[in-house]
Amino acid sequence: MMELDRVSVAFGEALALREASLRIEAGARLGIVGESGCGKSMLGLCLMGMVPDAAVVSGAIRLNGRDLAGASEAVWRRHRARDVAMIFQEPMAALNPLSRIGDTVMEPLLVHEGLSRAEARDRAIALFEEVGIPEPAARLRQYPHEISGGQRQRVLIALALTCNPGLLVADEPTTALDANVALRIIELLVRLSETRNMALVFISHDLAAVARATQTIAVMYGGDVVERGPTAQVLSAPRHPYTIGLLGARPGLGDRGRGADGRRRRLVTIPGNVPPLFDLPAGCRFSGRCSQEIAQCAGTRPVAHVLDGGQEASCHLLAPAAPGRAGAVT
Amino acid sequence: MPRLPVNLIIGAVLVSLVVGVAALSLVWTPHDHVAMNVRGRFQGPSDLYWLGTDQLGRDVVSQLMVAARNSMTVALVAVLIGGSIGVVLGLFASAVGGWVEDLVMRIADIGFAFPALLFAIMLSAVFGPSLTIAVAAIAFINIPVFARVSRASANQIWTREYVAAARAAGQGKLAISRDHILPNIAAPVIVQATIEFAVAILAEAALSYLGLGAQPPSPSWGRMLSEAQTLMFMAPQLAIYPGLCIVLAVLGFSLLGDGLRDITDPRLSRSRRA
Amino acid sequence: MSAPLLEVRGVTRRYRMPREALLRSPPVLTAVNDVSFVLERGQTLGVVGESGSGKSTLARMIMAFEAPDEGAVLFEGQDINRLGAAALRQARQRFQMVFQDPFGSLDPRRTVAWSIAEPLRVMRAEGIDRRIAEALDQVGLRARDGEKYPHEFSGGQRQRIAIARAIVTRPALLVADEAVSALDVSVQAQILNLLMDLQEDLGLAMVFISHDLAVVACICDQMLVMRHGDCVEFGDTAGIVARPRHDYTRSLLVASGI
Repeated sequence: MMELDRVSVAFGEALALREASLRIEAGARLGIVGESGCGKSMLGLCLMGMVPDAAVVSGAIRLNGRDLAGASEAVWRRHRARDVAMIFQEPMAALNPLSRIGDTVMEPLLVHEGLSRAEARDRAIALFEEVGIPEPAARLRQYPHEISGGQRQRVLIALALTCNPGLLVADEPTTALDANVALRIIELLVRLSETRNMALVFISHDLAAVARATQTIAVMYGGDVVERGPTAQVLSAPRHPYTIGLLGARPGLGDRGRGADGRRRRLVTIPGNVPPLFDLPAGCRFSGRCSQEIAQCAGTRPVAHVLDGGQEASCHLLAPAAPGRAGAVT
Repeated sequence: MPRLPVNLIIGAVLVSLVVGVAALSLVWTPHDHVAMNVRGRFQGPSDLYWLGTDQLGRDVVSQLMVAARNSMTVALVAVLIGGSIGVVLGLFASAVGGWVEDLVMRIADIGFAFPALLFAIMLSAVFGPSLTIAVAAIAFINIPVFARVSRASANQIWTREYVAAARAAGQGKLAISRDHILPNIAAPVIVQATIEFAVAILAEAALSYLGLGAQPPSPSWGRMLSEAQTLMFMAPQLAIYPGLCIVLAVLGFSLLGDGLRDITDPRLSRSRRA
Repeated sequence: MSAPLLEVRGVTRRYRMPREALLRSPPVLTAVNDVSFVLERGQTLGVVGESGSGKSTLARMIMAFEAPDEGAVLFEGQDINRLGAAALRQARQRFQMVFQDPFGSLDPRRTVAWSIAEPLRVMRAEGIDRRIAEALDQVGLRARDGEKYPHEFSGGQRQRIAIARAIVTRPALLVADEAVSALDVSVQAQILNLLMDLQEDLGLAMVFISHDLAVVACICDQMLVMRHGDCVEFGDTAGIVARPRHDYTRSLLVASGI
């Protein structure tokens, strides 16, 4: 349905996204994970045609086969809301605090769909019911500050659904929410994707959230998609050293406790810090922090190696001729 | 490199012009500003007298320059005194909190409500008109302004985690106010000081116009204006020159203050947010 | 047997909310309701709860930033809210805090060394420069990093600086309020490991507050689960993870697993 073909986003010398390619099938749920500054939000903005003016975009962004990479704002606006819609991390910031949530949701129905007020109201109530907002008719008259964070995110989802988009881009939709509420929002997004046959791109730093919400996953680091494949498979048998490190660094609930020496077990760490965009190595972006680095990593960009089961990882160690092939580490 | 706001640039140019001229008057003026030339009264602009002479045959340019210096000095001293007292009060109110804070701020509100000119006239009635009285009056009206600004900014800083960290370190409120609060409220206070500088220039001109500020022979824009008023039909230019100086100086400091606020606190800016 | 390091005895904290109507008395929010626990030297206690559960208010009471309305916080047997101002300032060297926001907990206008030395100056300690260098070394930074300003560091490094400041007085108790929540996963693991190192090497006791049960489970001996100001479950971490007794704890466990 939507496809990014070797899309790069450059701010001067710095590449926020380096030749990223993605396919989003109709009704499919794709997760994008990575740490801050890895380019995952920029990727979301590419899908919406909302890349900042200061950036230079190259490559192809195809929506239903049509390349929109160089398209004007006017062209993109015809597609936003109808074909692709987006929700954000901070639901309070995305709602006008001075207008009733009903008016906010009805506005696109009145403007874009040309409905009468009564029709728009009925549609808004139906949408609120669909996203699980209790007593929708009463909610229409409330202001954003009168409802909880989880309910606000539901309102934003309802707003995103007003024009029946084929793709919903959710950028960190659960990060600002408490764990239980976040779970409910994820369940809602999955259900909406299934019942409406709507594609979902779920962007998050939270591996647990992505694991629940998606079927396929793309792991990003330093503007590159470093690994991708079926979500369960990538998370249970990661092949890229970064994915392996990320999973190891995550405190799990498994057997932590203490080792034989009475000291607490330490977490696996990735040394160093996420480097700033303008200070990335030219070859593999992960070189310099990678524990299995070999000679060509810093200078040569690894190609994506296709592995079993539709998994792909961009790492020199996965090349057929590479010394000491990676992947044994789990 | 972000673009500087236009008001900042215009303000900075005007302010450097006024301040430059005032500084220059310390070492050089085209003529002695008090030297009278009875035969050369009401002269028009010439090579010798660039903007002509006044009713006593004194050089207008020289007078305007010295008046600029006087005006700047009054504004500077008044804003410094009023600002220092106000900031100390604001920091104190913010640090102590509770009913003390309420009390200090209510008193500041009363000070706010009190017309400055009335206060200056009162002081002059008691002590006789002088430049010192004018400075004291302008300083006094600045106290509540700075108390408010610094208290509001300080209250924000008190909620920061680094202040909590300083408390955890065992720092007292006085030390925290000095080490953390003051340096971090400097930006809004400086912005306010620039704006108050404009207000002070205007207040000084008004007081001098009423004869409550600079006393003759010390020139002042306000007094030049009031003296020229009686000659309005004979020599209108004598009223226009000092009036223009007041406008340019006040405009310059106001724009500079606005511009500084735009770059230090983008949230308050009107122009830069799309 | 001497007094435990920290004893929290039935603390309750209420906040008066803004008045809703003129003639009605303002509503009262009970942020923390009758919470008690004992923490021995060198032990770690995790406090888990969602936003609004009262866990940060509890931290603020342990740090004597605010006093409980009922109950008491006893540090080494002394009620910290009954200490005079000067005595409390001296006592503060023994219990320190690491905050959530690595960008907000360091004064942007002060050098790193200045910030780290702040508690030392209060206690008029000697050999301040040597102790700054020592603290920086303990958190994995270099001595010359002390001359820099906070904005020159990444979030993880700033949190290391904040930890250096907290341990420079050689405290017996460290209160960490969401100390790793704002960090990227890979950096979060580094900081958690650092806290474990310091805890074991220096014999620090720790109150570790987080909304993330998995993080708490990996660093704490005991766990206290809070909800709406109440303590809903308290006990050994391993026991709670294996056999949660309260539905709420169970839902937190579900939410934090992959």
